[in-house]
Amino acid sequence: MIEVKDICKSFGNLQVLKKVSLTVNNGDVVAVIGPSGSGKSTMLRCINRLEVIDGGSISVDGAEINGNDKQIRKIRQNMGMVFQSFNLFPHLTVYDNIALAPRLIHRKKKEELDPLVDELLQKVGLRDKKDSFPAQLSGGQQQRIAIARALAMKPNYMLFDEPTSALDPELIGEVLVVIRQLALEGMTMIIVTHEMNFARDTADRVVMMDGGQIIEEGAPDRLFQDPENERTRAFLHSVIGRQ
Amino acid sequence: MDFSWLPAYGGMFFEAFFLTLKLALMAIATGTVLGVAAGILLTSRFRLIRGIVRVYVELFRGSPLLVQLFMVYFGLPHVGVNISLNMTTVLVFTLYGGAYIAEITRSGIEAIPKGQWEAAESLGLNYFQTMGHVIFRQTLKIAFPSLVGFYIGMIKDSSLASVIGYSELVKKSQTIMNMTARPFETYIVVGLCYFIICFPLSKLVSYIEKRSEAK
Amino acid sequence: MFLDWLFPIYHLPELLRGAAVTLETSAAAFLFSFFLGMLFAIVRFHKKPLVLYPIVTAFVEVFRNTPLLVQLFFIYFGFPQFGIMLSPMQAGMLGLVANSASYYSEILRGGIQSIPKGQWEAADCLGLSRPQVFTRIICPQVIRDTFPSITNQMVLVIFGTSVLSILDVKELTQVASILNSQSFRSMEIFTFVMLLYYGVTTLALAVCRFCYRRWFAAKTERR
Repeated sequence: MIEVKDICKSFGNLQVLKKVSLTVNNGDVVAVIGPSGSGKSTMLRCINRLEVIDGGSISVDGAEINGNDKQIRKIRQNMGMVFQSFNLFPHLTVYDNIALAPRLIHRKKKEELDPLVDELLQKVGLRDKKDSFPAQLSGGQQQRIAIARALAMKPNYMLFDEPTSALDPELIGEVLVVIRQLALEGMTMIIVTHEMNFARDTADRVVMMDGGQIIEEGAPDRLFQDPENERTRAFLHSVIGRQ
Repeated sequence: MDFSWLPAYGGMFFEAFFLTLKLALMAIATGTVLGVAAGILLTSRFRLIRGIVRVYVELFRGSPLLVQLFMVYFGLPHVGVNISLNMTTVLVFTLYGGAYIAEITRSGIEAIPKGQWEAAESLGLNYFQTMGHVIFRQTLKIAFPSLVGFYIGMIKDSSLASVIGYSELVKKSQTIMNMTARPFETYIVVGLCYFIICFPLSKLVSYIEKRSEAK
Repeated sequence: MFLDWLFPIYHLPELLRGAAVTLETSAAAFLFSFFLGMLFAIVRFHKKPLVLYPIVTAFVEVFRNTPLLVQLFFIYFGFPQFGIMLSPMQAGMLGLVANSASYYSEILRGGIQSIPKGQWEAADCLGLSRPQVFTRIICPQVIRDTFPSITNQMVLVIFGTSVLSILDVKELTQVASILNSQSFRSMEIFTFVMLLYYGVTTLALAVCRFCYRRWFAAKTERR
């Protein structure tokens, strides 16, 4: 379980998160939507401590994150992150990108790594790209590899920071398919996204953020159909009207 | 112009040429070790470490090599430290090269997109694992042209060691020049020796640069 | 082991005179080599005039791939063999300018090559003459784009003047050497001189940054 309590975060004079609270139980798939600058990505990055909060607390599996390096690394090993710009390691093959962390941290040997990488590539549908380099792959393929890399550590949680925002439209679908499959398998996920239809179909809960706060939260059907908050309504209208 | 003396002195030139290469290679090796270490320290999150290394780098990049040679060669005995000419020369070139290579290394590391660090950290890798497996190899690729370019410069800079009496090509050629009384031709040959090493190397560097840009 | 760190201060007048020579020589060498380098760059870029191109290329490659010291010795000791006697300063300047111009040739040539073809075409279409296109359109952009390399080479010219001390030109390093042989206060003198060079180059770079901001940055960035 991930518990975010009243967190605040400022960048210089700009306060990006204003007392944000969120609880994610095991098995939950939470979609976070909202306009640019609402703090969605920042909140996500605070959870795996890529950003440090100025106030409030974040607890993972009951233990509060307190700034201890060892603890942070352990949490990150149990929490996969998928970035908007993939961030694959360009000098390593697909195989090495996926196998790097298990090899260094879990000290897995080749006999264990081969089937692991194979299974993950199968899962994301890219078994034949094992020896390719990231530069040789399309955006959609790179992002799927990035997902496989994050899954290699067998995390209990997966964080997605606008996973399809940097992709050409025709490549978005193949990535969403993989994420949806993960959701169906029961992975606990927080997905920051602009893909409204995807959020509606896949999430258990949708969280709407604006101006550094969570202004509405609820079941996808209810929130999309009949939003309570004015700003939610306005946002959905401007986004879905175009989709 | 008269090069008839060349066959007689050819052997001496050859020997002296190798002395220059020996010095240059040694300086390159030690300078790189120091420089890379200093460059990594320049990216440390501790202000004090960065500050100390920065002072060293600024000083040795902000003054002429000749002055550095004089300072160490004349200055150390003056404060009671007596080391051989060989060691003095290698020491100065190491410090000089280290400062420039530190800057090259630092800018190479800082050129790596932040996303690479974030991806490695998100996987739970620690600083050393991240540096060793993800960052450093990419740094090498980025810094390679500047690094080799600097090495070529070191080969030419080694000529200044002659001023403090170190035996390399220029120093030896002065002896030859005195014996043949033909400074013009002598220095043409000396220049040629440097040229046949430096010219192909610098062409190689531009070739590699063009190739990596074309990709 | 007694170190008298005030020693260089007592001799400040001489050292500053040496520094003045350094600055004057550097400034002159920088200006001459920059303009000569620009001419070389133009010849090398256009590959015309056909007669000059191979000569300039050979010149540039020779002076870029041999040490400054060897070039200075070649001029100062070699030329008299054919009756050309040069004073230390003349030989020094000649060598320094030839050396630096070769580096500027490559820096500026690279800059000219990276100007998009569209710039030349637009300028031509406006009816500007070739020299006008170059001086008003291309050149400013080249200088703006290669500014860091230009200032870097300028610093190398300042350092290059120290090598002139070998020929007994009375610039800063030579003044320091003479002072050293008279007093043997080596550590103090050369440390002071090292810091002096550092100060001079830092100042020069700050002036360059100021010039850049005033002439280039304002027009191209930050809307």
